[in-house]
Amino acid sequence: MPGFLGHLFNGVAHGVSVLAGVTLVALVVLVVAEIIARSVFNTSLAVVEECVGYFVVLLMVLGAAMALRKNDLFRVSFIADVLPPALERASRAVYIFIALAVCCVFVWRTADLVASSFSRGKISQTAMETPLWIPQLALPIGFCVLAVFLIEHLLLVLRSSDTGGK
Amino acid sequence: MEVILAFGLLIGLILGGFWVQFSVSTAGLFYIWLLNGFSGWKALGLVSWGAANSFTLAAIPLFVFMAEILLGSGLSARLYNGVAPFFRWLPGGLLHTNIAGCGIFAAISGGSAPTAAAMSTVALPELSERGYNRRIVAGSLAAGGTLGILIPPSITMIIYATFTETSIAHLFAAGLVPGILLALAYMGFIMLRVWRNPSLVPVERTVSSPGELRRAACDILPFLLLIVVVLGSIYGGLATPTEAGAIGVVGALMIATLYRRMSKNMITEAISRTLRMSGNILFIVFTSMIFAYATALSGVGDHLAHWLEASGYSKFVFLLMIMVVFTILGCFMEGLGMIAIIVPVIFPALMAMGVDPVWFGVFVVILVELGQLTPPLGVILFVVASSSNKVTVEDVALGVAPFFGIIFLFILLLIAVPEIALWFPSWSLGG
Amino acid sequence: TDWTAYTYSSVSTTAAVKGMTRIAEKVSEQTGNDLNIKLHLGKTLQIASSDITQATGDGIVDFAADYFFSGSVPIARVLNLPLLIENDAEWTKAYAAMEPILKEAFAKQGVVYLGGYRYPSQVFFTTFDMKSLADLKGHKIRVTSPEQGHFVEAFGGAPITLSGSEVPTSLERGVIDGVLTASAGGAKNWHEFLPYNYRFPVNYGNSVIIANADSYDDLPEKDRQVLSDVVSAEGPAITTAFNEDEIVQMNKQRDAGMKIVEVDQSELPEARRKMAAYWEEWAADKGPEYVKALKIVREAIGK
Ligand code: NA
Ligand code: NA
Repeated sequence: MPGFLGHLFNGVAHGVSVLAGVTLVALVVLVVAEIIARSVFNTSLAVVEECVGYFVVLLMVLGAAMALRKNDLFRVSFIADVLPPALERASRAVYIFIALAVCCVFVWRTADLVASSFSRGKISQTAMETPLWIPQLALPIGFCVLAVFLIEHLLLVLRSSDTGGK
Repeated sequence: MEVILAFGLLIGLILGGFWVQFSVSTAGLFYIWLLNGFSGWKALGLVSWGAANSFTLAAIPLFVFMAEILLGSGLSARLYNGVAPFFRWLPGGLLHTNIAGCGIFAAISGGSAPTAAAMSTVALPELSERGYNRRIVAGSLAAGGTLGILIPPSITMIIYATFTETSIAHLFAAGLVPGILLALAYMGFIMLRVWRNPSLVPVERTVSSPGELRRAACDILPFLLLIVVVLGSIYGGLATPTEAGAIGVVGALMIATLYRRMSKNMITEAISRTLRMSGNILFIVFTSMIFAYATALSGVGDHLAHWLEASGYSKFVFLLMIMVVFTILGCFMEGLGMIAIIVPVIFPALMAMGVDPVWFGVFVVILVELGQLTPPLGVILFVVASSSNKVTVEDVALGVAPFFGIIFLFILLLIAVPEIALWFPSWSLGG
Repeated sequence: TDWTAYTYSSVSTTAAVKGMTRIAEKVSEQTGNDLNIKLHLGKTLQIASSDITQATGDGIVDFAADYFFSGSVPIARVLNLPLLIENDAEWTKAYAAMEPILKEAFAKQGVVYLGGYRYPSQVFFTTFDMKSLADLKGHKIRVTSPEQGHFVEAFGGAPITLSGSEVPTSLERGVIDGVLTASAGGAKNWHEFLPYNYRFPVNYGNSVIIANADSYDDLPEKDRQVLSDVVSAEGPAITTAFNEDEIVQMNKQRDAGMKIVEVDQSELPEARRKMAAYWEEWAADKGPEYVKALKIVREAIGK
């Protein structure tokens, strides 16, 4: 996608892949550090089980967003493949709208969760006593990113129908 | 009623070509709305958090990362060059390495998704390249991947044990022999299939010279080293099955360095592929759990289980009915959710019939395996499909269909000869 | 009225789940089917055990038993401090003293505190021969709270945090050397990997029985009364059932070959002294309400 919007989407995508990449590396480093601490120094970092859970949440939403942008999300396409092109494009636009609606519901409900955890002062039951709204923020933010990439898909579909399919 | 509407919508959306994850979440939201109205969606926040915030799910990105490093460094290609000469004489050739490889990964990881993800990432591109029929490659990987929960360690068995207070050690021991037998049955089937239709596999070159075999053996060495390190780390008490994935990543990095294949480009490419693949898989697991929440809330599983319990069938018919119930639920529920809903309800009736709880655990685990392979919601189908963009979910589903039949026959065999599962634990652990 | 209920426990045969089932049945019977409670067992709904109080407060479930509430009501952890409360008599006094504080803290979460029950003492189950605290030295023990971790560390052990689903494999392979739990609790599942049991009582764990405040307020007065009465009767009954099961399980585990060593009484005073400083330090570190709560508990049990 050309122009300002194109830069915007590329920028978001770049940020997402950097953040997700750092999370993946941190996951490996943290788990290896715990194994070494336990087997060599006979101690535990005491935070790894908790952090790993948070990293998985982040990897899920960011990884899903990256897969969506590359159009890697699973699809069963044998019926869609034989539809007339116009109908196929129309169905894609409808699907993107539904997916956007689903994302909005998730953003709304998970943002509510963040608010609930924040107002309750909910903490993790570990040595870190993490205020849980902080890691939980990964969910609404992640679904927002998914929504952004859905909008990009939508613009691409609309543009391709403007130019008669290509 | 609600369940039929929700399931109908799910199938309709998936067949209509909607992204699977969004099909599942749309159907899940619809299902919750049918049950409790819009206020039912209040639960989505905590349910999402509960489903995604999981230590054991970390095995998926870790094992995928390990496999991507092996793939990116070219070590997996080297491995296949290495093993190919040894499998030349066997009808099916390298297809057997899929099953054997899955068996080895199954002994490392506690779940099926990490097992299938790791093996498919390495095997699917390589074997398609060599001209193997991609459906039978994908099918054998999906079938082999499910061995992950049958061959110990197994998170599924641990969950079953918590619900039923069954011995975990006995369950682990009981899964081993059926796991190996099932793997052999897969291999037997591959041989039969290829013998009937040789065009499924490429024609390999003729006899290998001793020198070629020696060089080939050297190519296998790095991989053997990795297996020794990872298996050693969990059997030597250094790491848990989930953590073993991280050891695998470090091992793969070390081997890549040792063979001078490390580069910044290779690593960033591996990371980026790992993120997309594991994001895709974690997202489908996540949405399945949202759907499972709705199913649990509706009580449909309870109803099925209670109906089964009250039916008064004989032991054999009862077990067959359990197979039917698991197969139906398995089409649209994730495995642990099925165990949570069905097992506690029917367990007392089974005990009254004199069914061995350890044997039943193995039976349930194989049924869960089956559920991971049944469309529309079969996690392993998606895992295998995600490892290559040349293979679709449909390819995997069609490729795995005959293996599905083998698993079914194997379950019947297990009912007829329970000693298949029970002999080894009683021999090794007593009682 | 139909209520959705949830419990962290997934085993239908434990005293905890049996008790919750009894509560549901009795309430529906005594309210003439006015209030029907449908109980969902742990892991059937995808709500984490540590989120049950929040789920109840947010109205996702109406009624619940929660063992992992300390992230929502951290002040309750005073009751779980190592060696502060060592026997039934002390527990009863301490709990009575803490109850008003708990009620208020749960009310702030939008939750009505109705009652609770207690598990038997958390004791050591190990893969190495353990006869005294000195044997902890150099051994890796899985703990479930930072306070337990402090205790293990104070006696030379290494506290390890580990996901519950990985405990059996970790014990089998030697990733950890032991756990802190009760015979009628975790040991029920893991006993075959744990040949030794040293019954040093480190601390108690307890569950609360709670309801969503709005759902509770919407009930007619008479149903509320029934609910309170049933829970007040069944809570202690669950505790009793757990105490009985503890003996049954202990004997079962002994018959299966577990070597069980009773606590060496002479070790208790020294351990108590060592921990007393920690209680104060812990409370001071957390804030004035904790200091106050600790003072109330210590006065109640005269310690
Ligand atoms: Na396994
Ligand atoms: Na399925």
